[in-house]
Amino acid sequence: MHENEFRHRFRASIGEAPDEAAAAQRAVATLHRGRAADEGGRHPRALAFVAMALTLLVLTSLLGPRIVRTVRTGGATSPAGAGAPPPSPASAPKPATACRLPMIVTDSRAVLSAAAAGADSNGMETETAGFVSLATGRFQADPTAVPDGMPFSRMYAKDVWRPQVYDTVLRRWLPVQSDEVSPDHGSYLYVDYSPLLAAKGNPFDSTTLHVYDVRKRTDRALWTYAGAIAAQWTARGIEATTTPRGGGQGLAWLVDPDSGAATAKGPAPPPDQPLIDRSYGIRTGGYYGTDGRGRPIIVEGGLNPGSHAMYFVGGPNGRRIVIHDGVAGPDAEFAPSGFAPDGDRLWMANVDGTAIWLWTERDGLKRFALSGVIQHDPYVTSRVVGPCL
Amino acid sequence: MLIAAAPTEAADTDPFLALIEPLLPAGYRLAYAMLRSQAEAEDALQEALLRAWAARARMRPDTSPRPWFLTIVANQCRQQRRSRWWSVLKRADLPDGPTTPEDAISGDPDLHRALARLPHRHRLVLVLRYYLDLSFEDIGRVQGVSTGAAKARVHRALRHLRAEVPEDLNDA
Repeated sequence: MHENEFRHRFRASIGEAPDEAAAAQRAVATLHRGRAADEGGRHPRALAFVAMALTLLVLTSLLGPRIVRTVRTGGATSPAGAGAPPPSPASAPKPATACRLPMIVTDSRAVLSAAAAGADSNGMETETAGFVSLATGRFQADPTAVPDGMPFSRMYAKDVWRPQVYDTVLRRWLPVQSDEVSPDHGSYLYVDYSPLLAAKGNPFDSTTLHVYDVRKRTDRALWTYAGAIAAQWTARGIEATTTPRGGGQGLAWLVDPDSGAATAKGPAPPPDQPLIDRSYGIRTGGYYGTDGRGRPIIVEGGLNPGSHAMYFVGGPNGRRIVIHDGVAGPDAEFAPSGFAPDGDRLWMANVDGTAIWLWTERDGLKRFALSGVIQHDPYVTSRVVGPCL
Repeated sequence: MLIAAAPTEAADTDPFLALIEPLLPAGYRLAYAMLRSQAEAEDALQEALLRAWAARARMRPDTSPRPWFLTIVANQCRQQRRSRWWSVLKRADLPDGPTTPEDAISGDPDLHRALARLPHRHRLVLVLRYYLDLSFEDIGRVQGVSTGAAKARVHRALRHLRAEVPEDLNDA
C-alpha cells in the first residue's frame, strides 16, 4: 500500500474529529473564563485559572505597566518618572569593545525532551549566567552566579534559584527582575506563596511580600495578603497588584518598604491589558520593553520565518525610530531575543546565538560575532540582561 | 520577552490568542486521534490551552508556535490516558468489539483497533504524520528530536503497526 493510500485509511480509521470549530470555541471560552477569574469556587478549575491569571499578572506587572504607561504618554517620559526603571549607573558607557556584557543562556531542550517522552512533569530549564567579552566575542559562564543564600519568589515547590539580572551596583547576580530591586540597590523584593503549590491548580492560602537586604543578608516579611501579590519597586515605594484568593477584583496598592503599611489605590488594571497601541499604527507585533529613555521598543510584523518585521523605538507623536527593517525568523540576520537598555545604547543577543548587536540612534546597528554558546538550536536562547560593564 | 500578536482582530485585545487560536483545530484533531473520545479531546484541548497560556513566556518569538503547542497537547493526552488507566485496561480486555461510540462508527475498525493497541509514543508519531500531515521536521520539533530521529520513530511505529495488520501495510 502506498503512503497516500495508507494515510487515507489511517484517517478513516480514526474518523473526522467532530464539531471542530465548536471545540475550539469552547476552549477559548474556558480560557476567557479563567482569565476573568470571576467564577471563584463555582468551577472546579477555578484555582487553576487563578494560578494562571497570577502568572500573567506577574508578567504584566513586570513588563506591562511601564510600557503601557510610556506609550500612553507619547513615549517622552523621563527615566526618573513614576514607574521608570532606576537610572543606569553606567552613565558614561565604556567603549563597546572594551566592556563585558552580562548575558543569560537558557537551555530548554530538557523541557521538550520530557514533553516528548510524555513525562508527567516538564523537565527543567537550565540557565547559565555569564559575560560576553566584546573584545573577543566569547561568552564565559560566571561561577559567582550562585544562590549564596539569596531568597527568591516561589509559587511552586519545585521552583529553583535562577539568576535573572546582573546588578551593576552590587556587582552580583540576583534572582529577581531589575524592577524588583530597590532604587538604592540595597535590597530587593520577592513573594512567597503559602503553602507552595505542588502543581497548577493546587490551593493556596496567601502570599507574603518579603524584602531582602542583600548587604546585611537579612529578610523581612513585609505584608501578607489572602491571595496573590505581584510587585515592583519604584521611587514611590513598592507598587503591588493583588488578586484575591479564588478570583475577583484585583487591587493596586502602595506598600511602604520600611513599615509594610499597604494603602489600596483602587482597582488593578486587568492582567491581560492589551499592549498593542494604535498610536504607532501597529496591527501585528509586540513590545520588547523600553529603552534607556523609557521609550517603547516595538516590533511590527509577523513572527513566522520570512515575514516582514520592523523593529523600532517609539518616539513622540507616533514617530518610528527604526532599529531594523527586514525579515523575521531565527535564520534572519537580525533576530534579537530581547533588548537591554544601557544609557543611549541598546544591546541585543541574536536568538541563534551567533551575534551580539549594539544599536544607538546616532550610529545605527553594529554586529559583534558571538561564540561560546550553543548556536542554531531553537531551544537554546541567549539574552542580554544588563548594561556593558 | 516578546509579547506577540497575529494579524486578526483578536490581536488588538489578546495577542496570545491571536497566535494560538488558529492552532486549536489541529490541537483538537490531535487530541481526538489520541484519545478517541470527543469529550476527552475537548478536555485535553482546554487543559492544553491553559497550559500554553501559563507557559507562554517560553514560546520562542521567531519560530512557529505550532510544534510548541502540539507538544503541549500531546503531553496532555498522555497525562489524561494515564489518569484513566482503568479505561485503557478495559479496552485491552475487549479487543474484538468497539468500546466507544467513536469506535463503532470508525471507517476502518481493524486498523482502528490496531492503533488502539499501539503504545502512546508510536501512536503519537503516526497521528502527527498521517492524521495531521506534519513534516518530519515538525514532528522532530514536537518530539524534541532531530528530523532523522523523527523519521526513524515513524518507521518504528509503522513496524509495530504491521505486526497488528501485516497484510495491509507492507509498502506504507
